[in-house]
Amino acid sequence: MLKTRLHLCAALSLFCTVPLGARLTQLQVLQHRALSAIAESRVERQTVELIPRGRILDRNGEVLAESLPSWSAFLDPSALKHPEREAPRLAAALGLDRRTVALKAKRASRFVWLKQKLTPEEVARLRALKMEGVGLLADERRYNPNGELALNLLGGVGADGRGLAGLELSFDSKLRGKAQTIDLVRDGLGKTMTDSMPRRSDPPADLVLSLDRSVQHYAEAALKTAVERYRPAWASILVQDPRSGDILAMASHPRDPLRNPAIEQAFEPGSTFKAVSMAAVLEEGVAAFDEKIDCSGPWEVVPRVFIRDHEPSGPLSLEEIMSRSSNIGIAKLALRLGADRFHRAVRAFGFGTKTALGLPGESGGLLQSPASKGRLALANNAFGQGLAVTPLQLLGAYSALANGGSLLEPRLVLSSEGGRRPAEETTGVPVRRVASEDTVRRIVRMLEAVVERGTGISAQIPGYSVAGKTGTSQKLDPERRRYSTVHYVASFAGFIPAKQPRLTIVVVIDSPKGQYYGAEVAAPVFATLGRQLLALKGIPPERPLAVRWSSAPKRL
Amino acid sequence: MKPVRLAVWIGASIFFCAWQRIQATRLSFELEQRRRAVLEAKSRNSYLRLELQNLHSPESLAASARQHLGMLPPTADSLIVLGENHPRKNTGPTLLSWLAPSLRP
Repeated sequence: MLKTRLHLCAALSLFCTVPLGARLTQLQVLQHRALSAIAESRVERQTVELIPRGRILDRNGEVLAESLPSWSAFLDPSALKHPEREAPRLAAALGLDRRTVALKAKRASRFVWLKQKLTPEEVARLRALKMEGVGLLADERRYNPNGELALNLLGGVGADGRGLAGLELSFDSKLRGKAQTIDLVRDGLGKTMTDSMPRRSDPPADLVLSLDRSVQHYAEAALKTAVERYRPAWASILVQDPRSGDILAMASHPRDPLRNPAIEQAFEPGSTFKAVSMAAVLEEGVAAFDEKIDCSGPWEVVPRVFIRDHEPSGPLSLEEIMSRSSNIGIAKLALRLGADRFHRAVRAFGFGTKTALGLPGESGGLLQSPASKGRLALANNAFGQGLAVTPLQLLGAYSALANGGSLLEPRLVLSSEGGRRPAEETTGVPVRRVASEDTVRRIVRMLEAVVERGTGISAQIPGYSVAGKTGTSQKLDPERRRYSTVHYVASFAGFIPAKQPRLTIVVVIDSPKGQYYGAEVAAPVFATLGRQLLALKGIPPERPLAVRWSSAPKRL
Repeated sequence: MKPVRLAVWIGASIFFCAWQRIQATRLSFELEQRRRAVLEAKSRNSYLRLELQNLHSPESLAASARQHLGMLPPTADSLIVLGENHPRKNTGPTLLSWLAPSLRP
């Protein structure tokens, strides 16, 4: 009897266990793969974290451009339970129009962008809503803490975080941020934990420029004043340290991240080019320093074509040719030199070829080959017409005169590997010697005379010696195929202090309205900026300033 | 080993393993929370640093100096040099020379 009962109990137990075992076998063995996949898909998640794009710094470590983590919000309209109630809350959290959000919430699509590049405050407000169907995607946002400072040079970054123009494009591969995927595990309450710790990824290197933020600010302020006054088509101001070739400022108008006239715009330099022509004349020894050239005009350079000076003169010394900016004088000297030697000298100064900056869109300027150059073309070239140069090339040529005759590679990037180079380093990378020290000394004396008693008087800076040259060139009218009598390019190129140059400045203003002479338009901009930069750099005056006795109140 | 003691050992080991597993999971969640908090704090710090840089930008400083302090960039005639022949130089007693006799011991 007892045995029967035991068998009955065992049978009942087996009756319950066998189906359980069978079901377990079905779930754990037969459907194992499919069920595991479903479980994993519900538990495991992947998230993307961004390492932001590298920074762009000035020579003193001040930030010019920086990317910060950002977020973009999206919506899955089908997941909203009460779209009519939830849409206004979403709109309020993101600062969007209610109607726009309501329309997005009714769309049939399962993915709609709500807003991109959110601020941290907007992200916090959105998270606080804890709304189903609303998600955030990691993103980055490019900021320029100094507003539009150096915008033409820095260029821009697209919505996808890639450089579009300027330095952002040139150094895109080094600056570009990286995305890294992290595996997460989510529990039933929605809490997440990392499945595996993310591998440490090196952030992109910072780009350290030779630019000085304060110098750039002063250059842009001077340019803004000139633009407001003369409303030019385009304008540029460049500042360089002639000892190292470091570009300290590159300001341009119009402000456009996709355009940089300082390197892209080739223009006929006019009389600022006479310094280069005169250097070639002296270097080749085709005229004695104390020789007088007959500059009475108009002078018929080829039959029925005359060259005129803006004021009639008689015999002039080489220094007077420069200080009075005589076209006839410099043209006669260039003809003595000949096309081959003139062309060689001009190319030696860096004209006709791109610099080593490697910025996108840089122009190499325009030079005629010596073979095609007739007498008229050579005479025109001597005073800066019939050839085209960029403001950057003109800057390099004047820096070569400022540093004793060595053409240096213009330097804009001090480091693209994130390291910081000492800002005080003053050695440059020489390209070639363009003139002997003796020739350069004489040219500098002539350029000083231009500012002391010639056409460049308005570029004077009290207490300092200034060497420079004005330029006023006629623009070519493409419709009439002749030089315009209305549109000019006003320019001034020079360096300060003339005795021990620390700063080379080039000012180019295209098609100024009202006045158009370089002496009236560009030279005062040079003087204003030069005075500010000398004070900024703490360069003391070379001679006592004119004293203005204090008219301070007598009672203190 | 007696079966009871063995059962206790096995039970304790199972309990310890379970407890360890729960703790590891709890700590993992906490670690992830902390990691996110650090990321958010870093992000917030970056935005604050950016705001500071904004305020330190030359344009912003110049605007503040102009608006709040009434300052202007110096012009050429702002500089006053007191030269050797200045009429107010060495002409009259200074506060120190006036006090000097009374300061003597």
